[in-house]
Amino acid sequence: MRARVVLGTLAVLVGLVATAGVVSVSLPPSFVPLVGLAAVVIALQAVRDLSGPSDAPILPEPERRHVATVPGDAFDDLLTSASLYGRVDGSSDRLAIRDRLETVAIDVLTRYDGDTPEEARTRLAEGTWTDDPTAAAFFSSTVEADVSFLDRFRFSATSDSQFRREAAHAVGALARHVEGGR
Amino acid sequence: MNPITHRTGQRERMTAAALALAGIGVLTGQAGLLLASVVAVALAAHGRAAVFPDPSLTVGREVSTTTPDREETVTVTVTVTNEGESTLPDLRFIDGVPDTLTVADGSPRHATALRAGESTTFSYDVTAERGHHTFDPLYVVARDSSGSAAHHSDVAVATELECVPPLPTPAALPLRPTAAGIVGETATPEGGSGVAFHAIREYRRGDPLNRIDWNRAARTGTLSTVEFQRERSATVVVLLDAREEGYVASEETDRTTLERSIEVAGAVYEGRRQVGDRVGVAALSPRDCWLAPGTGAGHRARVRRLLATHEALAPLPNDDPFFGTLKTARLRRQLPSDAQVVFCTPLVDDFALRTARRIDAGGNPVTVVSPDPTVGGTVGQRLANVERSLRCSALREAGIPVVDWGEESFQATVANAVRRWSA
Repeated sequence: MRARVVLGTLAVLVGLVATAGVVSVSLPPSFVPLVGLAAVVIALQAVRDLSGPSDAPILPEPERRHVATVPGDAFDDLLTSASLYGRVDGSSDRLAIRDRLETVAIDVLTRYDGDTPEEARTRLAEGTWTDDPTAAAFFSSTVEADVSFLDRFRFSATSDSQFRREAAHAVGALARHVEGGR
Repeated sequence: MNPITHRTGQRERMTAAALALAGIGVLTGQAGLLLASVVAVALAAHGRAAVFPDPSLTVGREVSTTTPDREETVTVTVTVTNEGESTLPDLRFIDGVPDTLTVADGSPRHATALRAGESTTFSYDVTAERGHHTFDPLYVVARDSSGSAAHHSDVAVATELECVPPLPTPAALPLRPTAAGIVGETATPEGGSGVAFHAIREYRRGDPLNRIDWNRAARTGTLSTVEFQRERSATVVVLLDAREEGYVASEETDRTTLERSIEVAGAVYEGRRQVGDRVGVAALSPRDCWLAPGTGAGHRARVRRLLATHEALAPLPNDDPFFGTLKTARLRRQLPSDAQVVFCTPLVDDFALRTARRIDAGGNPVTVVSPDPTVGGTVGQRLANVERSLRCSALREAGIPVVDWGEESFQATVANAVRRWSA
């Protein structure tokens, strides 16, 4: 820092003396554009430093009202992240969602359809518990959901996925079971 | 908070501008640009010479009322005076609105410059909510005239609001029948201990001495016992689910289910009080909350105050850990053996279900009142709704009645539930 200040002061003094015509400093013609370039580069560097993380204290936000937790939002987030194409933890998240939905589905079928847990598991595996083939395909390896060419294209192009769609249909079918009381 | 000083980066910005202008001026041979950079150099030098301001301020905060009703608009007026001897060229204020209150109109932020001895005033409106609200200190950011040196501090001003809403309209929530018959309605055809006269009968061995009719014994020479109308007033404890899971809602900005549970508690308290029952209040919360069952005007005032301002029922959830098993065990020890429990919970997790069953199995009949926070249409919200419905049916299967409170008023919901149960 000190060296830079000394250098700067010296340069200004020499400049002033040279302007007054006391001494003549002969510089190559390329020196002036070089100085200009250096100034621009240092300016860009300073802008980059300024846009970095700020050490300014965090200000309070009095308008921010506390918001309540909405039951189910955590599941929605999990479903979204599990459906993201190529995510590292995606498969374990999908497994967790499948387990949770299966527990709920067995509970629903035993309570509302009068199945034993074994029967419920069989019906889920066979896909006979609902009329909705997309919902049935979620728990079953034998049932294939109808996927149109357009959907296939959409699933490959966006974060929407077949898994997400089947899970949504499965939850919908379970909700209808509960609402219908059957 | 301790005052913090920091450089805002204003000087660096000016330096960068000066270098850029000069550099481009040199490269393009434009003397005007080079000259313009002098302005930026001067501003950067001003910033370099900046000293941190050290404001000396006095702050007054006034509210239009300190005891508002719920939903009432309260105007907050803040007056700041510069008590120092120098001018403060750049002052920014952020008032410490309590987390639990919403700003309805105006802004709690203000910016100005103050000469020595000068004052400024700004005001805004907040909407009052149930509870005891303490304002935070006023946050002050003072900058020097170049804007490059900032001083952050806060000035404490004690301001409090307390909103204790009246108890709601009574709801005639029926209680569970017990082995001794339906409880709660005071008039019974049976004699026993009590206050109102019922009958005189022959003395039997073991009758308490204070119930022997001595006048009659003196007149006739035979002992007889006075029977009073047996009191059948019930003991009820309203239990509120004030764990973090109790602070849920169907939309982020909606009233939390705890607020609805508190309305239930008030309505049930009023309803049972009117038929002569003894009612208490408890909460499942990281903080202890227990008001033993009682009667009378004093007890009613305590209930009203507790429901409005108890720290366990604060409008925002408590961050402390909640030890469920310990709390339930303690609650079961506190419950009088003949007490019925009205458990207000959104039933969004299995702990609420287990607690209801455990208390019921322990000999205190439980009725669950559940404000429904699962009405949304997303996949997760529908799943939460299915899971909650399963919990409701599991409770009903265990013989625990559930009042599922949706959109309509609580009183109407109870009336419908009673009609369904008696059908």
